[in-house]
Amino acid sequence: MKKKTKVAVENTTLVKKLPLAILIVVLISTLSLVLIAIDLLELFRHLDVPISQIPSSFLSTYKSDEKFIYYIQLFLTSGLLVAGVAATIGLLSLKKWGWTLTMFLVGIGLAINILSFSAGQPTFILMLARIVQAILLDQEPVRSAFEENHDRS
Amino acid sequence: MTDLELLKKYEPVLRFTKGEVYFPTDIEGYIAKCSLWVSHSDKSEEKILSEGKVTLKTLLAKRNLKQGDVLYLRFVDLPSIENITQRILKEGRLDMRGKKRGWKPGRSRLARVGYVSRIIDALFSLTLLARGKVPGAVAAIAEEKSRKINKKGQNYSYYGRVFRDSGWIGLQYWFFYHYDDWRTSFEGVNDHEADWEMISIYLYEEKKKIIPKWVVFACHDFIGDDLRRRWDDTEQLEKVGTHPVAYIGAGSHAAYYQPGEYLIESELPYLTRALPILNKIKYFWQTSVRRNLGNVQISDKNLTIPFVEYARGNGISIGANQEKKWNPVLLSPAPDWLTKYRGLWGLFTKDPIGGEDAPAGPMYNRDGTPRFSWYDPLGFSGLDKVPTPPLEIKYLEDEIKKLKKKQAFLSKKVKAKTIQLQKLGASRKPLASSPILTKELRKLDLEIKILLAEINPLRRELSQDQIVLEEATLRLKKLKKGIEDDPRLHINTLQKPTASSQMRFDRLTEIWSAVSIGLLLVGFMLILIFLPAYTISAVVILIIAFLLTESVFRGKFSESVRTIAIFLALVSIAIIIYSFFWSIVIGLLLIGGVYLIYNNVREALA
Repeated sequence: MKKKTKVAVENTTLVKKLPLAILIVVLISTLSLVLIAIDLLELFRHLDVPISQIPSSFLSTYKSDEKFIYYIQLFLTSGLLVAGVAATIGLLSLKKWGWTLTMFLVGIGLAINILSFSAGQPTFILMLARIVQAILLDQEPVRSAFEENHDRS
Repeated sequence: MTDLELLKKYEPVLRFTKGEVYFPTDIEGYIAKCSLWVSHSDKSEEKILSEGKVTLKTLLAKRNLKQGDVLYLRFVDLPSIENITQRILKEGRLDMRGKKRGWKPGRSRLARVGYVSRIIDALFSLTLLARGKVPGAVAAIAEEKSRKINKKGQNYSYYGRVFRDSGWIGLQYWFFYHYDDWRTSFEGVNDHEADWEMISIYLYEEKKKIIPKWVVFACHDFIGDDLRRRWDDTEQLEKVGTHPVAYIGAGSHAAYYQPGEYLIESELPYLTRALPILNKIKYFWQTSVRRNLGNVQISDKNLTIPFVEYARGNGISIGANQEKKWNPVLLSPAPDWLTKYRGLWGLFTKDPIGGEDAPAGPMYNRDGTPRFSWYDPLGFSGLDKVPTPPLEIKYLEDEIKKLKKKQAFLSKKVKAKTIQLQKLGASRKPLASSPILTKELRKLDLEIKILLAEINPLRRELSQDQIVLEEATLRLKKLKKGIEDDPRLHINTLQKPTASSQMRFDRLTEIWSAVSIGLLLVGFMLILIFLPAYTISAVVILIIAFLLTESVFRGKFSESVRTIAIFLALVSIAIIIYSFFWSIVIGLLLIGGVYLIYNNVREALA
C-alpha cells in the first residue's frame, strides 16, 4: 500500500513539474499526429489494399507503377506517426530522448514546410505551430527540466 | 666571459621526435651538394653553378640579376618520371616516410576539428595540385643525400650570435637543417629544402653578474609576447642546468617548451578578410539566438587548416649531458655568406602561399628584405617594451620622482585656486541676499563657474596621479626585494600540447572525418546528375544529413538537432514576415493602439 502511494505521489509530482511550455508543445504535437493519422487513412483508402498485403503489393509495384510513390508516402507517414507518438510519450515522461526526438521532428516538419513554400504550396499554420514548438522547446527552463531528469536517472 | 663562452654556457638542449632524420648541421656540407639556380621574372630557370662547384666563395660571386629574379640553391635535382617510377617500385609510397623510420602517427588530425576546418583542409589539399610544391620524390632523394653527407659522422652545429641592445644581452642560436619534410613524412603542412630555425635567450647584467631572464622559441610565423617564457617559470620551461630544453616538431623543426602533440591551426592569407564578418555572425548566433551569454568564444582563427606537430622528444637529444654534443659556430664577425647571400637556401617552387619555398638565411626573408628576428630581435620577442630589471628600477625611481614633483606643484596650484574660490564664495552671500544686485551676482556666479572648471580637472589629475604613485612605489618595493610577478602574465595564448582526453576518438570517427568531405563532394555530383531540378533543396538536405551524422560521432547529436531546428525556425519566421509583412505591420499597429488606449484610459479613470 505504501509503495503504491509512493508511486502515485511521484507521478502526481511529475505531472505537476511539467512546465506549461511542454504541455503546449504536447498539445501541438497531438494535433499534428491527428493530422498525420488522417493523412495515413487517406493513403490507405487510396491504395485500397489490406494491411497484410502491403509488403507484397509494394514489391510488385516497384518502379513500374504510379502507386509506388503512394507506398513510399505510406511508409514515411507511418514512420512519422510512430516517431511522433514516441516523442510525445518521451516529452510527457521528461526523457531527454523525447526532447531530442521532438526537436528532430519539428526540424523535419519545418524543412518540409520550407520546401512546400518554395514549391508554391505554403502551409503557414503548420509552419507557425512548429516555430512555436521550436521556441518553446529551446527555452532554458524547458531544457533544464529534461537535463535534471536525465541527470537524476 | 667571451661571446662563445656565453653561447656555450646557455646553449639549448634539443629533443627530437623518433622518426626525425634531419638534425642541425653545418652549411658547408649542404652547399657542397647543391647546385645554384636563378628563376627569372619571365619564369624561366637557369642553372648558374652545377653541384660540386658551389662553395661559400662562388655563392657570393657578383651576378647580373634583374628585378624579379630569384637566386636559389637546389639540393635535389628534380627527378625524371623514370626515376620517380623506379623509386615507387623500390620503396612503395614516397610519402609517410616518418612511419618507415619508426614514427607512429597520433589520432587523425581531421577528427580533432569540425566541418569548416575540414572543408578548408580539403580546399588546401586540392590547391596542392595547382600551386607549386616540392615533388614527392624529392623528399626521398633528399633523405638519401643527407645520409650520405653524414655518413662519416653527423656534425651537430648551431650558429650563434650575441648582441647587446637596451640593456639586454641576446643570445641567438640558429639551426640549419638540410630539409623540412613535415608534409611527406609527418602529415604536416609543407615540405621545403633547407630549414633555418632559431632559439633566443635574453640575459642582463647586474653587479657584474650575468643573469638569464627570458627564453624565446621561434615557432612558425608567430611573433611577440606569446613566444617567450621566463627563466624562473619551472612549469613551462624545462632546463638541464643552465641549458633550456626545447622539444622539436618532427619535420617542421619548430621548437616547443613541452613535449606532446600540438594542434596547429594554419591560416590561409586569402581567407582572413572574411574573419570580421564571420566573427560578427558567430557573436550574433551565440548571444542572440543561442543565448550563450556567458560563454561566447570569438576566435581570431576561424578559417584555418588543422595540422598536428609531433614534438614528442622520444628521439635523439643534442646538447649538454646528452647523447650528442654541439659544435658551436660564432657569427661574429658576421660572415659574408650571412650578409651577402640574399637568395633562398633551397628549391624555389613559386608557391603563391609560400609554404613550399625554401627559406632565405638568418638575416633575410624570402623576398630579400631584412628578417624581423634579425634586425629587431627585441621587437620579435616582445621585449622592446620590457626593460631589464635594473633599468626597470631606475626608470621607476625616475618616474616616482617626477610624479612627486608634479603632485607638489598640483597641490600648490589647487590650494591657491581653492582659496580664491572660497573668497568668491564668501563674497557671494551678501550679493545673494539683495534683489537689486542680481547683475553683480550673475557676474560672480560666472567667475565661480570658470574657476570650478579649472579646479575640478586639476583635482582629478591629482587623485589619479596619487594612485599611480602608490602603485609605482609598491612595485618599486617589490622589485627591490626581488619579488616577481606571475611568470605568465605577458602571455595571451598559452600553447599547450593536446590533452590525451581530447584525443579519444574511436576508429569510426576517424574514418568518418577522413572521408566525409570527399563523400560530400560525391553527393553534390550525384545530385547534379540525378536531381537537377531539386538541386538547392537536395544540397541543403545533404548538408544537414552530414552535419547530423557528424554530431552522432562526436556525441553532440542533441545539440546539433537543436541548432538546426532553431535555424530552420528562423528561416520560417523570415518567410512568414515576408509573406505577411503588411498584415503584420497593421496587426502590430492595431495591438499598439489598443494597448495605449487601454493604458491611458485606465490611468485617466484611476
